[in-house]
Amino acid sequence: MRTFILIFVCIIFLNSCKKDNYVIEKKDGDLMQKIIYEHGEVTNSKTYMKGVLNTEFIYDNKIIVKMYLYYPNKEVYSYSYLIKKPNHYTTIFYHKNKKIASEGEGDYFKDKNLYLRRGTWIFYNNAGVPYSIYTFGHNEKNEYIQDEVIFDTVTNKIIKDVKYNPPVLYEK
Amino acid sequence: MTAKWNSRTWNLGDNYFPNIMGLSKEFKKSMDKLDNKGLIEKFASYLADKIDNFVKPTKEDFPKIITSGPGREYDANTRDKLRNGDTTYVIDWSTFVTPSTLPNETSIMGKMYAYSWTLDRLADVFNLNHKNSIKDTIVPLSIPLNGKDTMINVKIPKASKNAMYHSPHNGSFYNEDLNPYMIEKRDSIINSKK
Repeated sequence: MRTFILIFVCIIFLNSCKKDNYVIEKKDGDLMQKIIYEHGEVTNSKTYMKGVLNTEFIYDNKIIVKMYLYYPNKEVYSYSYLIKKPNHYTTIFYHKNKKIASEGEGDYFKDKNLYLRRGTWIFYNNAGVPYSIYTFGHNEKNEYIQDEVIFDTVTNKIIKDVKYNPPVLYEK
Repeated sequence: MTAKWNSRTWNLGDNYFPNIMGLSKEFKKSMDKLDNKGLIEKFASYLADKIDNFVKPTKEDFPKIITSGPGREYDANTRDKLRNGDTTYVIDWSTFVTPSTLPNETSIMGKMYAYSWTLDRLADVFNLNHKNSIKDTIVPLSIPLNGKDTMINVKIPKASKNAMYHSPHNGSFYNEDLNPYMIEKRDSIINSKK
């Protein structure tokens, strides 16, 4: 009888483990998503476009703490990580040669589908040499440029250094 | 599976599966909008085209006020501001400031009329030389009046109705609470270029 009870408990335990750790795959047109659950909570989701990895999110306690975008060759295109809840991220873009293309921070507003930069953004050429630095601010709708510094990457000198007051609206 | 995102907290809620696919699409789109390097290049050229002549400290375009006299020199105020790389354009004072518009009599109304007429002409000349003028500009000028040099501040109205300056300060404006690492890095790069 004792053995029977022990086997029954083990089966229950294994079943619960099976439910807590699992992977769900879902398709939506050309998109395919693979979502990994651990202990019943999502920890990772990867989205594939026509079979090629496109985005990857890492979760912690149901909050997205890291976001990756990928080039079609699977190299990282951008990497964002949460530096302050709820939606303040540091983001780094990469050239195809893996050198940093730009880095800075911003707020991502999911409901508006907007990533608005704020603070310092540094832009680098393919060789990894900084060629401009901008300071952004935003009002949850638009980005504004507060200052602009442009470098001559040959002479290694500042060729433009301007502060804008009031900040200049960036219009695409 | 109808749970909604809390857009401000990133909390996925209890039933988050259907939202992840949507977020993935939207995040990709929003990041693509940044257009990374191209965006800044566009912005830099945009600014250069629109406002360089007004705000950049390294090169300015000054009006060169000349008179019919033998000197035909810069006025003192303009000369003091000229630096290497600056350019000038000529305003021949005598071509549009006539005795009838700048009366020697010092009646207030006469001066007001003379100033308004003169400023209109100055604005025409200024805007002719700055077709991309996008904001009002104050130009201090020293003009000959009643036999003396008199300083006036000339307000040049913007030429374009499509001003690109907007005040972002109505409501929340996020430019604080920044990552100190980025500020340090910025300062380090800039200092290394000086």
